[in-house]
Amino acid sequence: MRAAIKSEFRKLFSTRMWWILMLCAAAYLMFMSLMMAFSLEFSIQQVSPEDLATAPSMIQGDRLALLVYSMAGSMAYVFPLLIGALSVTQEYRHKTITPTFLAEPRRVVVLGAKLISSLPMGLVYGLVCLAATVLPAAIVFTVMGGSNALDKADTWEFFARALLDFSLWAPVGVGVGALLRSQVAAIVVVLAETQFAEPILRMVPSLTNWDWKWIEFLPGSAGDAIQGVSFYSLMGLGDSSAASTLPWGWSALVLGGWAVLFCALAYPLSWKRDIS
Amino acid sequence: MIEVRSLTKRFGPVTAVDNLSFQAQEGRVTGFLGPNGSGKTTTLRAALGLIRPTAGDVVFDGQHYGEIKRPASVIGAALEASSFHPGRTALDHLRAIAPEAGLPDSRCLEVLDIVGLASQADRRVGGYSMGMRGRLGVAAALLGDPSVLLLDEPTNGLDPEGITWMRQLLRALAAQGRTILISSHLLREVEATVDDVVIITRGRLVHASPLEELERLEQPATFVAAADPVALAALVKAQRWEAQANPDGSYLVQGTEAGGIGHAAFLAGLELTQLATQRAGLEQVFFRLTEGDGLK
Repeated sequence: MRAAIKSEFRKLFSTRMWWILMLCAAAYLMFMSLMMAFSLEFSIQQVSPEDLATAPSMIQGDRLALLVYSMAGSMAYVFPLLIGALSVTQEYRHKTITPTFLAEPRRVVVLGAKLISSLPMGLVYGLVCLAATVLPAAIVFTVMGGSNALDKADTWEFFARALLDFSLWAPVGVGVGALLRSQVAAIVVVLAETQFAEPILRMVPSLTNWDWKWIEFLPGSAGDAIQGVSFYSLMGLGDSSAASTLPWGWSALVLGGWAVLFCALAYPLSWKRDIS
Repeated sequence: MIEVRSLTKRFGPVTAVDNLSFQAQEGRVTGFLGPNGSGKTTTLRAALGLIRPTAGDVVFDGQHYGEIKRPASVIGAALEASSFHPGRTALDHLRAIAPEAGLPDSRCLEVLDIVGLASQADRRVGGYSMGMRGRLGVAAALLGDPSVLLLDEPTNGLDPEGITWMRQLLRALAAQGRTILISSHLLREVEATVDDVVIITRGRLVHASPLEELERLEQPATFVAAADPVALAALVKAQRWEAQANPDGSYLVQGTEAGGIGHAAFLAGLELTQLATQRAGLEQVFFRLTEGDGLK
């Protein structure tokens, strides 16, 4: 297993994909974080203290900084998900799955190695994405005389949870890739689910009075619940993270469970199939 | 020794390999021949555990591929010239395989040197020519210094110089006692390399023997031309030779040797201008074996 994991790391880091995708995520987050930190802080400063007291608690005091920092996980979790999925589908696309299975014919070992090696890759994405979100926003808050909340223990606990969130998304991607095998299908499914299907589903309970508890078990909800703060809650997009009844530890298990579930389905359905 | 034992593989209604059995011996290069689509690649992939046979199996000294510990150090395989990530360098492609074969990076450079790619080690494979990709595939197969080599169409994409290089490399490897199985759809390209031939068509075995025995199946023809073409035509007809007429009145006669034809012409008082035995070539034998169904 150790040799297989070493192989997987070498595959991940020997093409340009991992850092190009990471650069895209970082650039996107830096831009969004600057914009949101500036416009939110600016708006709040226009409001009188009495009016501000009636505003939602999530934008008051230190909470505002945390809300902006949470954009990293809420908006960029699709990137570790994609790198995980692509680490599998690239092998089929370029037929390198043949030398991979020749070197390690025990296919369950290869799948395990891909899952394990994706965790640190997700963590690296998390570190870069958090830095790209927190640094610009913290500078904006400081310059504008607001609070950057970096002196609060809560903030650092949030960072740790966000990193856990990022780390877990990459193995979920491995499961999706193993199940679908086709690169195009994996990208389409990942984008459709994360950018369309799940945001809409999560909006339903807040727009209606339907009590959809199962929504907490969707991967995106579970991911936000690990962080404990979600930028989407500001936009009224399903307040499931704030209202989540699952403790963050359980949400981490739910998200990890999705990775395991996808792999468990993929193994008999596609991973064991003939390579011709 | 590689043993293919009653191997059958069906893809839905299509039988790609049909109860195929043959062996490849140690210290010899075995040519695995057949037209495109005859089941060669399917057989090699089944041998390497990449596809699951419908029936039968393939063993290497009695063991299935999946049962061999660190298989890359026992069996080297190069299946298609395109199983590389175009954005990865040749060296990194090999470094991704090396840990599973328990090999250091220095071995990767060593095999690149053997196949003549050492100076291109840090170039991305996307910029490689077909021939260079073929060489890289062979480098990957040689990585674990294996005692068995399986190469699918190793001469594909190689220039004449590359084919000569490949022949010398394979001869040298076989001389070290390794078992080598190479597939090809062109007998001509591997004729000078192989010791034994296994010929299949439509997934079935049609011939397996040392190369010399195949040469015995060759049927020579005799080219004959006479000063008087009309008289020659009469002679061919009278002798009931199995012959093909050429537009200029000469003939290509099958099944009768030059001596017999010369004798008959002498008795008929015919002046021959040309009389020559023509070897049909092994390629003709190969075509004959693979065209006719079930010919043995």
